[in-house]
Amino acid sequence: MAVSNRIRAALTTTVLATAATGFMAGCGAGEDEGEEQVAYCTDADGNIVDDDYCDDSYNGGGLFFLYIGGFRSGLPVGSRLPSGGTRIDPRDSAARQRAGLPASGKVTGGTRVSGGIGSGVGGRAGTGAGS
Amino acid sequence: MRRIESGVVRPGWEAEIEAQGLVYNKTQVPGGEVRSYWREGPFYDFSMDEVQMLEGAVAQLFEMCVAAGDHVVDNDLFDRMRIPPMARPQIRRTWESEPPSIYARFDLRYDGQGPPQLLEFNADTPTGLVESAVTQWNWHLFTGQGRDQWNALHDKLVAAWTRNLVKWERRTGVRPRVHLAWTSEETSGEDRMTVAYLMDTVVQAGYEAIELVVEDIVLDDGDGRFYDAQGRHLDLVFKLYPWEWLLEDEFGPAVLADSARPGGTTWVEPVYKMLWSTKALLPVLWQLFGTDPALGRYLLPAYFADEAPTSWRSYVRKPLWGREGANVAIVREGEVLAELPGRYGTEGYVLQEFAPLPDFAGVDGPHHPVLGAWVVDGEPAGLGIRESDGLITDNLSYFVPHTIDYQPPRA
Repeated sequence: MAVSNRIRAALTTTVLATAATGFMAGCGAGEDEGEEQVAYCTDADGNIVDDDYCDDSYNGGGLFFLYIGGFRSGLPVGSRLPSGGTRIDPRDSAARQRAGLPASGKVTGGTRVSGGIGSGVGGRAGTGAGS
Repeated sequence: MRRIESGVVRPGWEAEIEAQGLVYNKTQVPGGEVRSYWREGPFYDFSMDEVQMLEGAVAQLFEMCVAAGDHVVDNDLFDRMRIPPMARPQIRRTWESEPPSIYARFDLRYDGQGPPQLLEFNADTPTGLVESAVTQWNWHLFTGQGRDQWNALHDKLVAAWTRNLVKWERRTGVRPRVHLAWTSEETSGEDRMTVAYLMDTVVQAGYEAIELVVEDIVLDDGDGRFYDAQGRHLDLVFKLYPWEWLLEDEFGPAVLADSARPGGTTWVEPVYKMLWSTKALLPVLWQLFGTDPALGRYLLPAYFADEAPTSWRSYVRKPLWGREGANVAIVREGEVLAELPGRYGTEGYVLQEFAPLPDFAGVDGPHHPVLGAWVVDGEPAGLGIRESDGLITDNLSYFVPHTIDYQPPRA
């Protein structure tokens, strides 16, 4: 039985050769394309409240803000939003659009998130992911 | 098996191997010196009879690992193996359903005289693939040394993707796109090039291949499914990222839950590879086959640390989930002879009989080779050899190419 590749010729490895050229040139394809942005609705004290309060059609009392930033998803209502992010008036449709949010209506907190894989176990272990 | 010291040295070889994908060739060693991971000039040579014997041994070792997996699953030995409870249902499911699995690598001790003996099985995230499949194949073709090389890796990888993806497509009715992921924490380029090479083999199997880093994998917390940053569903993702790390990550439970659902992401290698990538496999194999006169010769005696004979005073201690030699210690007559640092071991250890690697010494000192025997789609597929100056093969070892039936040029 043959123990080697059928065709005795250099392999066609276009993807590999291109990646190698890019790597040697210092290009980092596949690198971070920007942190996933997550939006939350908070009250004036920075506590997370129900998304309904940041619907631009909300007519009740109180002062509410949309915060968008690199927050963790799934933070519960009632918890304090960590500092950081951008504060947006929920009724300012232009500001909402600039932040990549729908111009009107309710904003649901963080429906899609990334960064939940590769959270640093490898780095802590001090070895590569390969073996 | 022999080591040829003075083979051909190709002009411009360093730039050539980098351009071919070995961008991680330059290795900085402790002390700051930069050296070449690839050894140009020296190589190992085997007879065809030897290679066929090694192939047979690898095929048998793979069958033994299948039997060991059956044994663990049937007898519910997950606690003993220190496999996290949350992974067990999906390990059982994938063990039965055999979703796509592409490759793995046995590390063997072989001195050219006795049978090859299993040191460990890198079943989940094996690297060293680019140098084995591409760099040494091109070296063999260019230098013309040797009549052949044990290297059907490329053909078999393409065939493995074809077989597995066609099967996946027939089962689901969906033509899969294949995402291939590496972790951006790995900065040497090795993981990225491994993924890039595997992308070539996916493309040559006739399927779409998309690169991404695991950090960019997106979980939709509405439907519980996984997507890339562009919003494309991950039908099937090859991850160069170990299962034991993935399970500790925030998305770990969601990965398991989603993969168990119809239409969920298929992760390659499958989670059942945890049964093999842990060093706990070694005592299980020894328990099952240690006394078999034909199969036991491919194994070194191995025990869980708390079951080792009290008379054992010379052994190698390996952490269950260690990598790249980290925390491996050689103990001789009760004294630690050599030990590599690291942060593994809290999960427990196995002890394996100390069988020193053979020394194919050269003018520049000792050379201790470990044979990395590749398995693709369950079949022996090729060989990559790493050698070290010391007795533990770590991430500072050298890659040395090989030939079959080399005839030295006439003077």
